[in-house]
Amino acid sequence: MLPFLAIAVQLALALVVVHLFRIEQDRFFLEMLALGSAGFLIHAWLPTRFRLCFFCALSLSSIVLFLGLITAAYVLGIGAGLIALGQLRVRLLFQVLLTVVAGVLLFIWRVESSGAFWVVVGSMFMFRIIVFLYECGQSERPPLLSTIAYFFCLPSVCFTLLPVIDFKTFRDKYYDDDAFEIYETGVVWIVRGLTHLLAYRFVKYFLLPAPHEIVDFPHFLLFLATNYALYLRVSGWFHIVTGILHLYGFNLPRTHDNYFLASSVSDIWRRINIYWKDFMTNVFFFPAFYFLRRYGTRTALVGAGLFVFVATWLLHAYQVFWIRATLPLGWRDAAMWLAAGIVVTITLFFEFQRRSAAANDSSSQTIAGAAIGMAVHFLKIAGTFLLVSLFWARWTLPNFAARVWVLADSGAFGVSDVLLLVGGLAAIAAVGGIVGVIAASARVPKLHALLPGVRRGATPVTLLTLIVVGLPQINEFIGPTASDVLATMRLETTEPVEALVTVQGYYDQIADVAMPSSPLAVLPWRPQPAPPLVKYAAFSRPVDEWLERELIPGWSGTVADKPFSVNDIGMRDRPDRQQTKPPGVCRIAAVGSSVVMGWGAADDETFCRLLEARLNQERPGKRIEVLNFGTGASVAIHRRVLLERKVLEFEPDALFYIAHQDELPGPARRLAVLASKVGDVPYPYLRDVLRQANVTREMPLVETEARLAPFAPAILRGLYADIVADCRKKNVLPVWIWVPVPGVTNVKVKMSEVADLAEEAGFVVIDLSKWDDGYAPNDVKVDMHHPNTLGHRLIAERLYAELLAQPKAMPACAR
Amino acid sequence: MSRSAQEIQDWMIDRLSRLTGSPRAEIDPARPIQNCGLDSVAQVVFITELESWLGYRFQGHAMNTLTTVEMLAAFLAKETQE
Repeated sequence: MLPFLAIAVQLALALVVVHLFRIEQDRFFLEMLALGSAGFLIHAWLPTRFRLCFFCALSLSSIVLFLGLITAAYVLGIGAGLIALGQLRVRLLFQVLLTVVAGVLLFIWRVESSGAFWVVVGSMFMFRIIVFLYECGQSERPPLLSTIAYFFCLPSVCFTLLPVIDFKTFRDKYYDDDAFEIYETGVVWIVRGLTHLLAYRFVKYFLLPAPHEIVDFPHFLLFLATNYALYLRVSGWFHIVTGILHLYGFNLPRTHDNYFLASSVSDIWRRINIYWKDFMTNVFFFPAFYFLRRYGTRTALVGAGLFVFVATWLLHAYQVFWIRATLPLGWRDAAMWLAAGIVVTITLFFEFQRRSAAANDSSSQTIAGAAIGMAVHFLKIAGTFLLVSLFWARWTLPNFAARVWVLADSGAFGVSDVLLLVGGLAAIAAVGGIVGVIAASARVPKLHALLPGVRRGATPVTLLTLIVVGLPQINEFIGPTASDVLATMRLETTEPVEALVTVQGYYDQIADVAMPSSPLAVLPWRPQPAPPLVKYAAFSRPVDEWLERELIPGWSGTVADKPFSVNDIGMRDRPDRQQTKPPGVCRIAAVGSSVVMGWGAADDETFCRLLEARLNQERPGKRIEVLNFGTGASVAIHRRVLLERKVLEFEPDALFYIAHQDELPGPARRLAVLASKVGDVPYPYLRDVLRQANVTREMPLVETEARLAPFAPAILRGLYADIVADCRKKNVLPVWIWVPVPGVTNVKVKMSEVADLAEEAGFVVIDLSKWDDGYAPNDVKVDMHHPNTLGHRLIAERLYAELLAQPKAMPACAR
Repeated sequence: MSRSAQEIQDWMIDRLSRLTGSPRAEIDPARPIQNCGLDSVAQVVFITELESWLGYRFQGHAMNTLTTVEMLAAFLAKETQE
């Protein structure tokens, strides 16, 4: 009873962690884990003969429950058809032919249809059907219940990427050990999966450098490492899936084995996605190896190795097809997989030689030998990590090669970087040597002897720690920076963030595919679906490539649930505002993004309106206007053009330029688009940048972006200088105001980085970094990027206070 | 060359122990060979050495169906006798 209670309590704690961190909220993972845990409480006490039947019933019910009747009917119908083919009492060859015909028909249907059920059908059947047929060829027809459990097993419906579980292992490992040992392993894996997913978030939000930051060798290395580490999401999912299966007696082997510690290219193949490796080994490698053996063992080894990588390339494209309905069979991927195959095959060849010799060598090792051996092993781990990171970046980022080329071309890799690399490797080797000596001297207890006890204790401790840091109340006891970090860690956002724009790699493309709409969405604890959003395009109109869009004069409606009006001169401002400046009026023109425009605030709630009211209220006798020139999706280039074309016509006395975290990378990306669309760039400093970056109009956009990313500071410097020069010509006071959006810590721009550029250009700089006044990000925002009514009030109050503290930031007419 | 099942089993346990680095006592002849931690290269090494020692050639991947040391040893003893 005690082990059962311990497992039940840990599952309850895991549910709290999933709830607090909103882990895979869009995939209904909380509900799935709740169902899996509740099912476990019953299943564990059922007589053995009813357990598999119960698991099948629960799995099938989960499909109906999570997908709704219609989508579930498609999934179950197609699945039943495929399983029926596997159950036919006909010759295997005929059975395979029938399945291939069914596959072709489904392929044609998939091309024609974008039904929501395909994602689930694809993830459940695309690989398992191959394994299943292979297994049918090796032994007698499998029992129906095992087959249903294999294809429809419980957590599958939530995930687009599933481990390719071997059917034989699935059956053979069913309750092959003490039941509670298996359940406990399941809990350990679920918790390990949760930690992988949280580590993935941490890497994605805080470590992955933004494109413009990759300007030197250390950042390049950091990018390689963190980009590879994004795979943690996949390993997290796989741990969770197999962990839940353990709760129902499927004692499956591990899916990943410390893959960051692989010591050779063939070792990574054995450690990362082990089920995939087993699938490829059993279904492709060994059949090819035995077929080619007539040409010699070594030839067969090389041939089979290459065949596996060609098959891997094709199967990855096949996977994308079933999930996303596109078939990415480009030469780039083919060349890359073939190159990887050649490298791995060469390694396999030499490893075969080495291991053949080693199998006959039983010599023991001295302590010095162990130290050297371990130092070399550590170096191999570092080298493999670097090599796999490079491969990963090449695979996941279409413009990676262009980026590396630009970096090398700009002299970003120097002698000091080589020394840094050599020093780092020497340090790694030294640590390895020390570890080798300690291990060989045998004065420490063997680690694996301690593992079961450590594992038992570590799981509840990890869960309790995560719950403590996941509770919003913890903010009262920690500093504001840590609060911000934890608040961001609790966000499950699928919005493309700055850095992730360039890291929409293979797995992200599949993992980010949305689940079909679920009837569970109406559950009371689920986030309520937002009312249909009015998009920016609905109340703006195209102008040209330089300004892109402007607000439609006279438009009124509801935006983000708030009344939104555009006046007759195309501004989110008072209806009676005139272009001609009335005599005696002091004007402040605010330019910036949708935050300035007031997305999420009513017409009279924007900080521009509130600031105007406060300035007039505190200065009787003066007439001060704060003109709102904010527009959506605006970066510094748009603002520079807007100033020239419109703002200065209003004869402002001061320009309030509002900047956020996207200030630095935005203009570089916009310039990349302009370079490919606009022939003539009228701004000399932008032309200089394009020339220095060797950008041509014919160049693919991804390459132009890669070439311009390192020039982001130079672009912004030029724009700021130009804006300030224009202001000075018209006697306008230029003021630069930093208004970060709380909780958007994933965009790695330091305020000082851009503030220095603004100050250098001649702006008066105001820092509103702490405008949120200690409120939690979600209390002051209407969505990820926009302040709500309270947020606008806080910005206005804080800005007013700063203007009093820095009179030089106020135009003389308003003092 | 004809070998008894016990001889073959002993040889296999010895080789598996060297290939995986596990002590002989930890290799259970009744458990699947693939559970010993053999990767594909090690399996190829194991198979080719076993073939060379016995003077016998596998036609397919025997470890798929003859999953344990016991099963494989019994099969090979019979095959090499014939």
